[in-house]
Amino acid sequence: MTVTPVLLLLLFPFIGVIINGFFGSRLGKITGVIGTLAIAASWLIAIFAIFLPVVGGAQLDQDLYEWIRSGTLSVSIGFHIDALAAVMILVVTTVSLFIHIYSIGYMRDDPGFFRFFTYLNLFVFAMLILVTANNYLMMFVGWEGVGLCSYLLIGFWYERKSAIDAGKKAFIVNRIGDFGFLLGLFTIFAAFGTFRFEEIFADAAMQSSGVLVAITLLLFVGAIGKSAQIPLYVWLPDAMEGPTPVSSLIHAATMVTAGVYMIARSAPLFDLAHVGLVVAWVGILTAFFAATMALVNNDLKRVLAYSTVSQLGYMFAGVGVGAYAAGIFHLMTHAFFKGLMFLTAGSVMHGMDDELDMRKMGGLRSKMPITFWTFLVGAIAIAGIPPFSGFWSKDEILYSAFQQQHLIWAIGLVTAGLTAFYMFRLIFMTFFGEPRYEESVHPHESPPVMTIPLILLAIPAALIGLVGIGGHNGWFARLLASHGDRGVEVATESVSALALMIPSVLVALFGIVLAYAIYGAHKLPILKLMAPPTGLKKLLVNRYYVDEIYDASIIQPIQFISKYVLWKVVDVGIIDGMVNLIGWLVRGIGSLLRLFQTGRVQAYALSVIIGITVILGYYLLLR
Amino acid sequence: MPEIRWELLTPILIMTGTALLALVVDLVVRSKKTVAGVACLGTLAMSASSYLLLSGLVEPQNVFGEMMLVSRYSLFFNMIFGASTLLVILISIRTMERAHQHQGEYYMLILLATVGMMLMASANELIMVFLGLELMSLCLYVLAGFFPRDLASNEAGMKYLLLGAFASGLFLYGIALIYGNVGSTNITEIAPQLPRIGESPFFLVGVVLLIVGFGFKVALVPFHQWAPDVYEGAPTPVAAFISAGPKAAGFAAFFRIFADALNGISGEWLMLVAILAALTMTVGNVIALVQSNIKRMLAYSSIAHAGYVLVALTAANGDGVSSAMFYLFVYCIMNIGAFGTVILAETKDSETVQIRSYAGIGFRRPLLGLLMTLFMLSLAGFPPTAGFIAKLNVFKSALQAHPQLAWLIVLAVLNAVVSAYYYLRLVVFMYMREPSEPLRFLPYNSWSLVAVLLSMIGVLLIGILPSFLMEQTSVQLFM
Amino acid sequence: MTTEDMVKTSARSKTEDMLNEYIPILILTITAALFAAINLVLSHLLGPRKSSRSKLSVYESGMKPRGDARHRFSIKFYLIAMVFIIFDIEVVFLYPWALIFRQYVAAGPFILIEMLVFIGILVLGYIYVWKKGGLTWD
Repeated sequence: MTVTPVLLLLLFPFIGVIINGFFGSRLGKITGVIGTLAIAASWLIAIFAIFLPVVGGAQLDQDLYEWIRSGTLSVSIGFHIDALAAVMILVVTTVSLFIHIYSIGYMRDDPGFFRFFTYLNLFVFAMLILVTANNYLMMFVGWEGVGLCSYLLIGFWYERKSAIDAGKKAFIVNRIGDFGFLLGLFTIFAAFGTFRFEEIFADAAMQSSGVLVAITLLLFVGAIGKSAQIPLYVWLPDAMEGPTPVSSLIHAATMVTAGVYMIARSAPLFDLAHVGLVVAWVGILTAFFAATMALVNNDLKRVLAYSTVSQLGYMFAGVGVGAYAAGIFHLMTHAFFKGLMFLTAGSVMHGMDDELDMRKMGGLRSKMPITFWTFLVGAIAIAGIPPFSGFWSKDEILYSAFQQQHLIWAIGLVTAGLTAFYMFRLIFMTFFGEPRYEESVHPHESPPVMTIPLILLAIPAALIGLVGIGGHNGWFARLLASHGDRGVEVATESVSALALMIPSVLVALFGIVLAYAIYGAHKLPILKLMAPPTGLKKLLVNRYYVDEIYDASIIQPIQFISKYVLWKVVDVGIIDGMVNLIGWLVRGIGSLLRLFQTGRVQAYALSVIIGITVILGYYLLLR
Repeated sequence: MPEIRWELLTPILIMTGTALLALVVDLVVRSKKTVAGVACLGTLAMSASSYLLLSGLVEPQNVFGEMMLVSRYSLFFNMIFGASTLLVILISIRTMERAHQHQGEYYMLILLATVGMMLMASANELIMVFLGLELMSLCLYVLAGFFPRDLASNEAGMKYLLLGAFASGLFLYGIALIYGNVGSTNITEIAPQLPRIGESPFFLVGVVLLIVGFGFKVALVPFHQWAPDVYEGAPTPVAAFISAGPKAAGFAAFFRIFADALNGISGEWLMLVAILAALTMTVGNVIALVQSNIKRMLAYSSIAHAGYVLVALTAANGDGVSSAMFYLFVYCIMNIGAFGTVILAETKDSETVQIRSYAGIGFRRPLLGLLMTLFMLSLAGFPPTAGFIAKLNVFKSALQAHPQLAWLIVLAVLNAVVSAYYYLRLVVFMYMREPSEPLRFLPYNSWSLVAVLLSMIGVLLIGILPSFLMEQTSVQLFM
Repeated sequence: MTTEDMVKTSARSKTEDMLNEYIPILILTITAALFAAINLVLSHLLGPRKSSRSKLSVYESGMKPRGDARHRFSIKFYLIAMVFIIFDIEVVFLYPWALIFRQYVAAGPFILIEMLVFIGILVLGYIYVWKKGGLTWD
């Protein structure tokens, strides 16, 4: 395998950015087509020139260009393509392609049309850099690049204060994670003297376990930030302020999974450091708590956002217990079905005049049938009903967890039931029952440019799981097996995989039935829905008061300290005072020196002579 | 009869030929843009041939007996001169069209000055250095006073001539004293004789006079005072030219003689160079703080930059020389870019040289504001611009070579901080102040715009992908 | 005394030797300066000073001066004089060339071509001066 297809893969989105960024304001609506074509070209390359050769056994690890050389530090721009990267490339380009097409319709009337496609292409470019990098520093560049695009796109409608605030929140929370990641990079460089994956993994066994634990935990902090895990998940629900295609592409399908990808990529380090259980526990707890928060939320997109956080938790649980293939498998199926569900949510919004409150919906099934059926596909997939895709991947994770710790498996099982419940609660509230929207709203199906991507995306969302049939010995697991999937080794069949499938299917069915009993079986009175929550529900509606706790424990004290100590005393009093004093002194000296610049040639010559005399005097007399 | 390897001389021959051709073309054609075009093409051809030679050359080669030494070092400097001359020609076209007079001569003088610089960079003889210096300086004197009806330009030319002649005399005296001790003017002959003559006071006086001569040409404090007056008075493209190529040429010969031939007695001059560097940076930056005229501010800024380059000389090894080459390349591009942006900002009535006139320009002329901001950031040394990498390299190489000179690096970093104040002040004026008077800007001149955009691409590209240029600058000592 | 000191001393004594060589020049310089100064002072002291009209008149080879000596010359005069001097001096290069011509011409025509290039550049300059009107008086 040569480096050419990788370069082309990156080139097309980059060209899209250049064309749309510089000439977009003059090109008008054609920018959407340009952006989409760029991604389509990358998609074709991803399938035919990268994914299929990799399936055939091709590999690539090549430095292209030495980017920075400074002392012992040498960082190259180089690419590493293996099965893991190829799967990610395929997922990223495929989902991006559908979402680009969809966005042409969704963003049609937006004045920032070309800006949107510029950012979107830039995002794909950065994401592809992230997954094709062959060293941590280049990965970090992509990592920050997707973070930047995320920030720009959350705050895309910058006239809305809530959008700007959400953007800032995402930015700041992600900085915490990135800080950890960066410290991890420094530690890696200090320990290994290089950033290249291959060299690091080859040397990893030689390092002391303390160093490895420090490195992996710091990297994991980065992953927690980017992939919205406890305790840094708070930015993701707010990020729904961005346009819905963005929520779908960046905040469900691709960028937020970067943390999972990074851990899977660093698998040799995590294996040697034995911190997998930390990862798994953070993941499974996130999965559970996010699912409980989704139970009671009435905002269509926020339910999906909490669901994303919850599913990301599953992925971390998977990679945490060493089942990297299962984690990546779930990443892939999730990208398709969650991307699909966000797009259908966008379609609902489109038909409902941007209404997001599910209490004001109901009965939309007949008004927008395509949207309904495609959403249903996604919901069944995520609920884990065979043979839809989510079943295979989730079950794979639960099975691997069972091998490691039964408790993780148990929490995962309960979470699966919660998932099925909140997803079908969403369906019953939105698509079934009596209409509860106002008279002025006229729900209608979206145009074909939006529904066709929905249909196309529904196919992989339903069926992609079939590549994983066979569990640890399935086709997908064997494809990734080259990547050292530890799940294969520990598969001492204490309980057969089939026996574990039965409870998870039952739990999912139970969740669906329960949702039907509460929200689907009878008419929902709008007044009851609007009533203020009480008891446990109140706690859940307020999301365990985490935002309030952060506000009281971190934000308020920091604001207090910065305002009354740092600003008024330290900054204004001490620093400003010193800076002003120094500034005043330096400017004074400058004005003084200026007096010597008389403009007279004789004076200048004299200064030269004085200079020579002083230097010669030093040389001939003092030395 | 000694064999002459003509192919090694192609860059110099092309440049000389282009200068003569420009003279003839000027006599024949009416549109003076043709002359500029010829000059551009010649400069491009020279740079291309230098690059081709550079990529093929391993060992330094003697040419013309031992008068010249063609090496990676000299060829890289040829490319610096090529880049700066090309950019200066492009930003000159507009100004010269307005001036009407003697346009052809203008381009010829620029080209001949470039030939002088190339001779300086590839000289292997003190006499050759002097000839190159004089060829360059004579052209510059005329160029500085190129607008005879403009009093400031006249004054600039006259001052530059008087002080330049003075410095040339001192420089020649230094050569004479060194010749008296070494018995030869050949630069490569100096090093082997150092154990014998290194302590001789006459020799050291000669060395000091060389420092003074170079110090004048590259405007080191206290030999710098001509610079602000000349930059302010000279036509803006000429000021850009004087601030870039000739400074690089002065440093080329300076480094060649000191880091190479006189390396054996570096103990004698190291402290002097360090003190001069400290003085130059500090005085340049501190006076720049209080300037209200942008050309004068850039003049003091270029004095300060000479100080930074001199820091590289204290390393006195291959790394130091490489970092100085890198720095000079970057410096030439970004400084000409800044001057070019000043030219782009000209109004219907005059050039915009008062810093307060830039108030609010960032919103009224967005491209102009953006370009100026970029060049200011690069001059101040902010990442991801080229100026950052250049400064980093210089400081790093100096610190590695002589840890006891850490005070100099600390001072240099402090200076970079101070300089950020006046560079960013311009940015603040452009974006955060309301314009005081309505200025009637001319539309962008396309030639100047091309030059400035080229500089911008260079500054960003080198800032983000520096390693290509770094490979070209890697040289061994005794080049 | 360490070797280092000895090296230093020897270096210093060498320098002193070198300085000693210049003593005759110093003496000559001082003598010359004194000679001039003494003569000036003596003529000032000894010479009688009696001025008369004919003594103060301008000496013009026995002719009576007409008009002011400080004429304004046309700038063209200087220009042509300068051009003349430039070409005049450059022609001086022909003499050493002619001296070694016979010696080197056997090795090939290079020496001839060299001079042709030199003269070619001169001719170019000549054409330039001509075209720019440097040789026309009005």
